[in-house]
Amino acid sequence: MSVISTILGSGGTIPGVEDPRGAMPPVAKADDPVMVAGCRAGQASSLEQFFVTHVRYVERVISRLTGPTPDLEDLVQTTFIQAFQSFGRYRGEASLKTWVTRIAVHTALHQLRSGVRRAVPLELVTDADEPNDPGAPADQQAESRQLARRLHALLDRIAPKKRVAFLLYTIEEYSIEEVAALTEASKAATKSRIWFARRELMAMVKGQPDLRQLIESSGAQSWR
Amino acid sequence: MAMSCGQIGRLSVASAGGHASEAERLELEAHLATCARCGAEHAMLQSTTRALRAAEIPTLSPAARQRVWRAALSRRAHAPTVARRFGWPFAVGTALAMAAAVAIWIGVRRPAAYAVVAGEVTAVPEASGAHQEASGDAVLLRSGSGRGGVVRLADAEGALSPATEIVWRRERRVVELRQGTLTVDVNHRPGQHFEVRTPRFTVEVVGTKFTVDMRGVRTERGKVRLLTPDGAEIAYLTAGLTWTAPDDATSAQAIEPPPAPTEEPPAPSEPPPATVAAAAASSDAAAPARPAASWNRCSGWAARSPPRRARSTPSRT
Repeated sequence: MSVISTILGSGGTIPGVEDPRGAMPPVAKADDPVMVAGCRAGQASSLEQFFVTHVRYVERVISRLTGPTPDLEDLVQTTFIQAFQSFGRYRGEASLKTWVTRIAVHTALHQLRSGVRRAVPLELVTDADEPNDPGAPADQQAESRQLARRLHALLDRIAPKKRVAFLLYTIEEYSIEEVAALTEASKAATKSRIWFARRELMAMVKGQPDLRQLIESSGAQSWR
Repeated sequence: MAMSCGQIGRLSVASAGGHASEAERLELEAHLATCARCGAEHAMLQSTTRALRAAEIPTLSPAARQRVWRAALSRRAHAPTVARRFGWPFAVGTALAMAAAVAIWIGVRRPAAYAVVAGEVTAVPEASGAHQEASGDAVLLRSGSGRGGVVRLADAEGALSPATEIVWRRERRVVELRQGTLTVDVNHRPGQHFEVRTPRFTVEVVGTKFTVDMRGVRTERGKVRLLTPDGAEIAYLTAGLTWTAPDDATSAQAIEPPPAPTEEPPAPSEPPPATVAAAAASSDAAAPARPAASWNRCSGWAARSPPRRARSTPSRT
């Protein structure tokens, strides 16, 4: 039985998969040179190792940037197809994680630019292995889900480039330089995009008192 | 120095993303303690980012991951390393090689066969047996009996009078005039040979425009060299001069310039096929009156010489 079927077929805990949140901002861990060479040569075993290592992080980045979407599987698949077909151009200047994240960001940006937003089913397939707050009551989880859905609805009204830069910076906690590299933009443009996205989002939140109230009652507290 | 509200706004975003240093955080707090508007904005931003961060993140089921894996694996690129890594130099090398090949091809390509530019000129197929010598690279070209034509012969242009027949040998750049009249306009290039042969004489081009029939040559521009059929040089014929061959061309010694015109002739122009035909007809008519075994000016051509040629014509012996 292959590694991937052993790991993914069980639906249980995935060993060896790095915690995306814990690894953020990404500290480039030296990639296995044998695996990199195998991926460049198109060897299935190396590609499998690469896939298992990064698939969940890719899912997470795309979910963060696009919000809840029924196209998640397609977007993840597009990302890995592009990665598998582009290994010949991987020069090793960035870590594999940064490299595949850049592809994922581009895939998400392309999806957001296309303007195709399908309806999201109520039953989201959530990350069963890493519940955000396992101890939270069910009603609180439902409230959190509703809040996230409304916030992403507001983010849908912000230009994709600004939205992606803002989310990478504030939620995924990438630095300005890293966001600029991931989106292939200058630092000045990245700062500008983050600033304007923040301003637009705050203006929209202010315009919806019920949402504002929901945010305040979600347990999020002021800095004070 | 105290920060402005705009600067604090940027610091607020940095703080929300966890990018603010301790000093920046203290400065932010100091400002927010005195600015209610910035404080409310910052609190809202912090709550919003926390809510986004705390939201559940949809991920794929194991079965979906299996599907993604299989789809990606089936479309992987096989062993692309060498070609892709050196793709750019390979592309440049390929482009240079192709450019070199094109340059070589241009340099060694065979001269163009011929092209009919205007009028009625047909190529007689070799298999027809109409001209046994027209084989290999040679082609037999014949103009219609009532209408001439213009053909492109490599970098030369030939105007055939009606009922003219030539054999064009492109490899040697030789035109054999079999019958009729041919006016040739050649742009001379050093090292490029071009000649017109008749059974009685040969005209070697130095760079000129001239008209040939079976009895003689008239040079309209530039200069030609006249040769006997066996290659012995007869003379050079410069612009405006006309030369007619005697019955025995090898005995020819004299070339007479055309006389100065007594009245203003028509302006010189490129002889279209019809003009060439007229000239040919004129010269044909004059032919019986010419004395045999002597070099004479073709009266028909001489009468048509343009004034500038006549004024500048030197005496030749």
